[in-house]
Amino acid sequence: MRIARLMFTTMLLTLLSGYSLAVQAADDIKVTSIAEIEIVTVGKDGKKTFKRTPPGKAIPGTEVIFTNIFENVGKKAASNIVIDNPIPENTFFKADSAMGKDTVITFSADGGKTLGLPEKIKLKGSDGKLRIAQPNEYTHIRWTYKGQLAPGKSSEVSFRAVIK
Amino acid sequence: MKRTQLSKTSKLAALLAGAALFGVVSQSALAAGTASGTSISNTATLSYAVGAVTQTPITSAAAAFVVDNKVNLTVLELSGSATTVIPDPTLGTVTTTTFSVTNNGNTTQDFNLAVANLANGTANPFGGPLLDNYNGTSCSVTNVVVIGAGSMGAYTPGDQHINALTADSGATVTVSCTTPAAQANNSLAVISLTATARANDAANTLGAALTNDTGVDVPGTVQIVFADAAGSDDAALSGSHSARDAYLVQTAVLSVSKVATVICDPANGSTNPKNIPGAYVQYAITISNSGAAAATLSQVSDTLQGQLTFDTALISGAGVATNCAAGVGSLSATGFGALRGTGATTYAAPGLATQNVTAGASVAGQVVTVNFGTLAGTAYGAANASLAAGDFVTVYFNAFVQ
Repeated sequence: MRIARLMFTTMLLTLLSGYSLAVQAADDIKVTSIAEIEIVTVGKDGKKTFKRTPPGKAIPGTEVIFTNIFENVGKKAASNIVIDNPIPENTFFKADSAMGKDTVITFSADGGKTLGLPEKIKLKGSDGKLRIAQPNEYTHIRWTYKGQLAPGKSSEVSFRAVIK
Repeated sequence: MKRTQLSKTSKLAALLAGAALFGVVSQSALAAGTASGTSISNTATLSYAVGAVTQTPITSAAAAFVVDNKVNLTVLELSGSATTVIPDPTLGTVTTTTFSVTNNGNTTQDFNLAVANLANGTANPFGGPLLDNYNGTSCSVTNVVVIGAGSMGAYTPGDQHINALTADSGATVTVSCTTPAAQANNSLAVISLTATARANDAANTLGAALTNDTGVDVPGTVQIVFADAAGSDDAALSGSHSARDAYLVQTAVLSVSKVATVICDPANGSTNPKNIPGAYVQYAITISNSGAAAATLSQVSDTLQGQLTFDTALISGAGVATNCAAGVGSLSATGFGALRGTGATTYAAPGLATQNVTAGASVAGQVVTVNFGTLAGTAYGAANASLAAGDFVTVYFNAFVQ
């Protein structure tokens, strides 16, 4: 019990320091992560309308869209932009749902240790042999932004995950 | 595009909730899904450079919301066929049947249980032409037992509800109904069991009713979302599910017939014999069971008219040519023949030597008595008082017309 409590406290501290870091470094680039769900309504003409709302009613099986918006609020262009996003706990990544303009998207299925394109991500199967990881086994997504983000410009990357 | 901006306080709350999440609820990966109240939190970390200088990575605030209470359940009838009732002719007959109730939601719930008699004319849920034509009485839940490794609160006899059935757990619900006395064969009573999710209260009592939250979305609040399918007697997204079962009365339907055939007369012998003094008449008593359950036979007695004399030698007529002298061509030392079988009676007069009765049939004066408890014979076989559905038994003997 004592070890568990210690771990809990450590984790809490890590998260809190992460929080303060985000505030401090907000000088050059601002990152905002949002979660939404998509409500589909079919009109009388059979046309589908997609509306995004905050995920108020989210139950197992609900698909959630996570979007990370990044904006250069500094005075100089930013380069080598890399966005890392662990797949949230209690959700799984929805195949082919990662998007991002002018980015190369890579994934990890081993907690972020190795990253690669979908067909190159391997996991050890129950027979001990390496196999290609399924999208719902991904643990991390990385977007590598091509080029520079000029001051005042913003862009966004997104993915969908389903609540387990 | 509308976006929610979290305030600083809620950011902190989200982080704390995220920390709690890592510590406590990471083990839930069940079929019913992530437990309600669990926070789902997303953060992205951005690293970049300005000029040639790598900057400190930036972590976004967590985008967080809680998983809502998914209410979903399944009620199934377990046997897959109507429950057979063999009614007592004078007393009501209590018969049980079983259903399963499974919590497919992501939250521990109480479940109200309601047994209903369906209207006359309701179809048999297991198919066939029979329709509901009677109601059982005192239909109620008499037991609830958790299935396998599932978990639920204690069941107290008399409770018409399940206590604290955890997500992914199922319970076997025993329902008991009384069939009225002397209900006819093939009578059908269709019943339904409807389970309705309720709040899980701490006590082993039925919790409060749930309301499907159709109002606005509140990301930080656990809302109730009905996700159940329609059952036999409830609509989809009602917080309820139901299934039907049927009680089918199966009883024996006995009929007795007695057929007389002249087998021989002194003038014609066995060719076109007539009912004249000195003729032999064969009486065949057949008991048939056209019902759906076996019957246990006891005894049959028949009083012969004064003009008839029992023929102890059971002359078949085949053994005599032009006269019917007693003692010629005897088929049975007891004076009786018997056979049994399935479907239409296969007996045809005159009887055969192999159908002789060895025990269980007797005559005293003019009274013929057949005791099915001891009746035995070559073709009939060993004593067997049970007459299966669809079977018949025939006992025959001859009488001499004075």
